[in-house]
Amino acid sequence: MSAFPSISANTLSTADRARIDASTRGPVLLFFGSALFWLVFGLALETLASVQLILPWFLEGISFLTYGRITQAATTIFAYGFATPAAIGAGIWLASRLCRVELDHHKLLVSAGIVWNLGLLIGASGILSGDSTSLPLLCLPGYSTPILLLSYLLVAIWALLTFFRRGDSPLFVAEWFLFAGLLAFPWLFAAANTLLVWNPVNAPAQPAIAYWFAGGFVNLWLAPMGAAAAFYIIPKASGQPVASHHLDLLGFWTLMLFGSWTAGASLIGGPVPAWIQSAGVAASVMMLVPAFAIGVNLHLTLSGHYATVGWSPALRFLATGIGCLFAYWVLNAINSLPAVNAVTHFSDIGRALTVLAFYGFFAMAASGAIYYIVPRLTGHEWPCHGGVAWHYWLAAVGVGLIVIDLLTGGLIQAYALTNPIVEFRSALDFIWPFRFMSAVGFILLFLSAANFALLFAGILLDTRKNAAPAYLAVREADSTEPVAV
Amino acid sequence: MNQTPNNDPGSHDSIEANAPELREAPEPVEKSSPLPFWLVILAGVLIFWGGFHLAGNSGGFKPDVYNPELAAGGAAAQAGPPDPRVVGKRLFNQNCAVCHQTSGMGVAGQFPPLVASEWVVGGDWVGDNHLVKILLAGAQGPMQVKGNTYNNAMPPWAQLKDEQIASILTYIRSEWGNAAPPITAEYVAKVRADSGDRKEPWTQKELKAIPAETQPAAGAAAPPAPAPAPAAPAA
Amino acid sequence: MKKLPSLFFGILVLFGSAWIGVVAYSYNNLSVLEPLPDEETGGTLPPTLPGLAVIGEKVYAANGCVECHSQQVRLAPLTTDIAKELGKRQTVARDYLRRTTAFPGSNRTGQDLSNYGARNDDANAIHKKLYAPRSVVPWSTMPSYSYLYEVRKIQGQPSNESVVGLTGAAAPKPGYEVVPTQKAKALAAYLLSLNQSYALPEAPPPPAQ
Repeated sequence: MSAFPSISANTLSTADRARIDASTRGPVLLFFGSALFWLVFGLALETLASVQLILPWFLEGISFLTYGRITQAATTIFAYGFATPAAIGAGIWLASRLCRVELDHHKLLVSAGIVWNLGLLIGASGILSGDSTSLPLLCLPGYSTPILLLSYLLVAIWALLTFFRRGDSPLFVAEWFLFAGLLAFPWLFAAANTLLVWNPVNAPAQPAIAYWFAGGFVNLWLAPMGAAAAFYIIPKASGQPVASHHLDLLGFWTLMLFGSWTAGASLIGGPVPAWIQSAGVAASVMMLVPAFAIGVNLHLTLSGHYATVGWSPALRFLATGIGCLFAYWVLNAINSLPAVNAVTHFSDIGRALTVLAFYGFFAMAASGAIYYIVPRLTGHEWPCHGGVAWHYWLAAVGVGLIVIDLLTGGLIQAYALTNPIVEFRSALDFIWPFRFMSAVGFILLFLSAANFALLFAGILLDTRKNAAPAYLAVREADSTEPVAV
Repeated sequence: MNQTPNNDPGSHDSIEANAPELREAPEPVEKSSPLPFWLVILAGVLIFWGGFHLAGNSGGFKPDVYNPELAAGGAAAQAGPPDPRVVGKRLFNQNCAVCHQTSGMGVAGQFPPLVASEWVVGGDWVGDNHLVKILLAGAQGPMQVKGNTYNNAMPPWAQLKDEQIASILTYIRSEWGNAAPPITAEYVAKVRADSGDRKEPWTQKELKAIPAETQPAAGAAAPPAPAPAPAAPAA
Repeated sequence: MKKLPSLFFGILVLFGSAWIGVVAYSYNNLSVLEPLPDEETGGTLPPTLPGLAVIGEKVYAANGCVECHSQQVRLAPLTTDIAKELGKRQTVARDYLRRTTAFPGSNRTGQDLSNYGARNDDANAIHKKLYAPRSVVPWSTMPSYSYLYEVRKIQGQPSNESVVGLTGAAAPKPGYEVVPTQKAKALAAYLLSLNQSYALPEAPPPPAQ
């Protein structure tokens, strides 16, 4: 059906790449741009919420700025305003490159992007004005989610067409993750909305389904999409082959199996049958297998060539993101052990892990992908090298502050919450200084996101007319490593 | 959706690669190095542990077991069907209390009492089978209860399920100081089968002609009742 | 793994296993739970709710209360929830039977609310706390929900619904009164209805220590 010349099975010539990149420009930039807008907006709300947690009187008594509503709006905006569009945007580019197919459905995808943002705007306004469902990661009111699903349907049509046209060449590991993520998201999102929001099942059955969705959103949607970007861009930019096909297989299939079963670990000792809890615990602990398989594989790929991570923004962000994903899965496995969870559940350790997965893993990995992809679409270099470095360090220090403080503070808070002779008030007193530091961390994260959005605007408008690629560190003139940006 | 590429047809030849594309390395490939040995061991250990944990903490994969330790410790019976006397009380209050009263005392001269009644807890010639038969087909005509004669009619209750009849009888035999053993649903089913499809209510004369029988091993088959009421044989 | 169909089929099987095991299993076994007869009152367990409490659940959801309040007592002896007197027994699925949405929660920045109605029976005290949390508990970190209340000039007699006993900065100006809106009244009714002090066979009380 395609009128353009077929591209050879295993290689892409520079001209092929140029054609494919140019064909994806509009939709990908639309998804990335809107994602960055929502990231800044969501982090502003998240920062406000973190301040209200230490100063409860701050802007209180205003319905649309009350803590519960802005927290839920911030989480929703991160998940559906930033993460999902960024994943779709990177997915469009990755699928076009990996399937070696030029994008010829601009209108389809541009419509999808516009409809998606419209749906999210309606949904986020709904949450702030008091229509939240208050379900984990699924606060969007029932009237906004059909719009999002409609938009994803358009994306799915494009994905099907693209994968059908890809030819017979063997599937590269990044394509497995990409395909799995694009398949899992609509399944999770449509099923959870049907069973919990549109036509809710009886309440006793809801907690298990709700956490099946919440766990799946991270393990089967964000993680595969981040891994897809990492498994294409890391070997591509560093010029190294992916270390081990067997590790690919192990990591991918164990992620698919264990990642979908983790729901019960969020309800240990709670109102779901014991075996669902035990299955969730077993699955969460066995997530160590994909964590090590994916982490070790990418580490071995870069091993000996970490210099490229030093100077390439894309590699730096992606490697940090995958490192955070590894840390998230390991900490989550520990936190899922019943004896540990009995103490730590309901403390800020849960918030720390969410921040690690969202801002440590996914925002970093997506930023890495954006740093790599956008110059290829626009033909411009990133405008301000210092700005890129600021973005990285603000984000890294911000995430580090939040995660480390909430983990240590959460341990103390958890002790106070569970010890029968300690009063409830003590838990609040103990956690306060740590929450203060985490609020500082959120301010840094907000600044990093604002900085990134400015850089993005700069590269679109080509403000500086930079000819040199954006290095984070000096690349020695005699380096044998690839340029990697 | 478009089946033919319609946008910018000339683009295929005219696009020039930009600088980032020109400096790219070739498309990535995979090596097929073997799995690290330690990771195989780790995966094996974890999968073994996971299976072990699931098997030991599954509560028998039952949907109503929330605490496997309590279930394993012998409290599983508490998670069984509800106490028949609880169900029986509700059914009694809905269906029977109009005549026999919630106190079980009946109405003097009209409806006979159930408290300490030989028809309920057993008497000289009255057995468990008579009680069940009356529930199934009703009763009419003069009847002696605790030395008083009542002449009225009791409707049949054959439309109730065996479990429901058993619950009602278990309730009235253990309430208000009555202390007869529970009646099981199996026994009700047996009597129902013995009586065939008899619809017309029994008379005292007819019943007297049927030899009394006691429900076989009634206490053993019934679910254990937490309250001590049925245990005391005196009353 | 070379081909798309085998990839697709593999993902379908693995993902489907959890779909069947967690989602379909819950749907088949937990959404069909029935109320149990209640020996003492002739009613059912969990008890039916007043209509206002059902409406209040929407208010609870709308304001994101679940971000700081859990509604589950976890089992003993693994956890200390029962020793902390959050409830006398663990929460099970059937406890959510009368709710439209279950809010088990995942954070306890605030107190667990599973048995809030067993500890409190005074709607006015709840209104005071929702309207001005720190006038009641000085160290409370709960934000004020004053937007659920109406401060209005007393017309003739004060309303019999107005919140009484507000002190300090929270007290209305002389001649004014704080009256709960329908939403606040519904939320208070919902909070009062949170009460699991009845026995369920699948949640036996833990053995005495």
